[in-house]
Amino acid sequence: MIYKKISYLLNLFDLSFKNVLRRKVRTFLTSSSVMIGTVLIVVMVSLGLGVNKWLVDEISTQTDLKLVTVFPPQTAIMSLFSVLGASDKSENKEKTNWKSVILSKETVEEFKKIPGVFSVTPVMQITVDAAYLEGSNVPISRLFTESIDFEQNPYYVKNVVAGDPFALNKRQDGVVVTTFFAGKAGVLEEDYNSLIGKKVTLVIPTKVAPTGFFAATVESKTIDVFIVGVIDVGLRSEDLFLNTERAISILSEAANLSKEEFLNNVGYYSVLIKTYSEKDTERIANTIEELGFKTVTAKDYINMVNRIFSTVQVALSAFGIVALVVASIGIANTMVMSIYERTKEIGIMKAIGASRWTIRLLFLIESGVLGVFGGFTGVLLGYVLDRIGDFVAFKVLENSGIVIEKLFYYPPWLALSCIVFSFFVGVIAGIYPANRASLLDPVVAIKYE
Amino acid sequence: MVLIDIIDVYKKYTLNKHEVNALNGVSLKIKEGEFVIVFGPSGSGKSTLLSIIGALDKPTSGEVFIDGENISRMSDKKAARFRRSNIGFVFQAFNLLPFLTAEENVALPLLFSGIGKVEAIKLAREVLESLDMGERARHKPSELSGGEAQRVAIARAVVCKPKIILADEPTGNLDSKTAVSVMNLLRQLNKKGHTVIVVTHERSFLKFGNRIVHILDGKIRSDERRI
Repeated sequence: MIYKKISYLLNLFDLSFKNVLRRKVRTFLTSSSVMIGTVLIVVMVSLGLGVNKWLVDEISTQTDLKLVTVFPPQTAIMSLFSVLGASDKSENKEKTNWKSVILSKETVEEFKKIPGVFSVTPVMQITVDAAYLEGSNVPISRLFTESIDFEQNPYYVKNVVAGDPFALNKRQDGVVVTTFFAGKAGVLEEDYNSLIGKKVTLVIPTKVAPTGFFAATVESKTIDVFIVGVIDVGLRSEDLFLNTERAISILSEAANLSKEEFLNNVGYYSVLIKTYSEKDTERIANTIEELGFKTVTAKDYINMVNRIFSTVQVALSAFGIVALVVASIGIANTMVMSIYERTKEIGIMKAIGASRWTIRLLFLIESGVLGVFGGFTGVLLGYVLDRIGDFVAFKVLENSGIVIEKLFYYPPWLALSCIVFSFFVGVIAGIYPANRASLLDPVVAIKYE
Repeated sequence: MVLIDIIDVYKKYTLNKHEVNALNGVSLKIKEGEFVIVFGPSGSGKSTLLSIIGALDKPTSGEVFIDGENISRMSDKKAARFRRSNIGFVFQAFNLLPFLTAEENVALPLLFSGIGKVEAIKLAREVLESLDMGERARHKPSELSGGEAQRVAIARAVVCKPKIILADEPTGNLDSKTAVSVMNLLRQLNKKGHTVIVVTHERSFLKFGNRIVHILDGKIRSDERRI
């Protein structure tokens, strides 16, 4: 019985193929619209996937999968407030509740006791209103300044461009600048080496007052530091790195507190925790979250990128889907025309024993085959276009220093699902014509000329 | 034994807004193994009668039993299966599918009933060979003469070994010599056990049948048996 059903379907496929091949030009023209839709989907989706994959790969190589970044909860909320432009008042109201969960020296010691933790590095962030490079009185503003121990966290340094950034640990008066800073200061690439040893004067606010939405600096002081290294930070966005001890003293002085008081009441900006094994990262992050802190791991970034790109994917493939809807109208039209031409044949087939369902299936398969023809050629053409795109993108981006070998990522499942999808586009387009064909009166149809 | 029992069948249809009574109370019993010639002018209702016997069309009123089964009240699916296993149609215009070879045309009813393609083609070839058409099996209908095409069509009609062969003006598109050979072929099939009903308006072919049913204006005028 099953065997009969299968050979019945195979026979109908065989007949449908013969019919489709009967009118080659028409088949080509009809399925080429499906092809265009499929090519659009393939190219758009593979571009999205390629960029997604590239970003995830970059995150995986430039961040450490053994790393957990810990923030006190108010940092996350405060940065949200500053984005929303909320005033200081709302912050003060709840500040007392947060005090128990600041990144104090004690908490950092607690983190060290969590099993699986390899090292704990505190990080400071400093507001720098402006900086002056030695020999220039043009202020450089909007500087993102952090302090970090590069020896513990070497992945911060994608490339050492000049000097020795790792010397920052021993130099409280040192500063490591990034290529972003050099760019903002107007230093040319070939002159990066000349930056080493140069003085940078930082303008740091000591008293701020809220004025409407933004805080304005009322008092500030200047601090001189000397460039020990120039680095490329890849996907990160810092401009300057200071020695951590120095950063703590700058901040505590600005707050009129002793170092001890500062660390016990304000705490570190964030803490980087390194685990012994990648497998422990999530568990340790969860343990710390339970203590009331916010954590970020490389996995969080990767998940975020994946989430964003899955939306982008849908948006990009919408073009192709619109094209396929248009294509399905074309298929439906071809099938309706074909029924007019083949009315007599349909009558004959019914007379010699084809049921309505046989006729219906015959036409559904036929329009499905039209869809697959287009889908298959679209998948192939999409592959060719992707490889050309890769080549062009590689050549274009090569000069700007970005090495991306596969801008278009084309996994087998994409090809397969495009072919299956195009088959169903064809089948859906064939529903109305197939129904119409199946309902023809055989007595009338046979006499049709 | 009565194979086909037609009881008081009426068939009305509208053609260009005029109501046409194609059949006006036809009753007829056909026994197994008979060779019936349904004779009448065009428009007399003989083709309609054939369509109803072949379960292609349903009577407006009345019943048709074949082998005890009421075919006038059958679902489409059942009727299709019934046609495949019990009825072989032969048409005036041969009605072969132009994009299939002779053997594929003959195999078509088998393909619809779910017999594997290799097996179906093999059976189709056997039937074509028995009708001396083996050499033309791989040809397309456009490459066949009228007589050859009708032989292929007859092969298609008998490939499922039906009890009944229904032929609607099978010689209408053929020259008289070929027409005679086709009628002889139908007679041979009748002798092998198929019940054959041929619709014609050609008086000269009456001699092939062993029963002549004369139909006019949708009614049976005369019904005579020959020995």
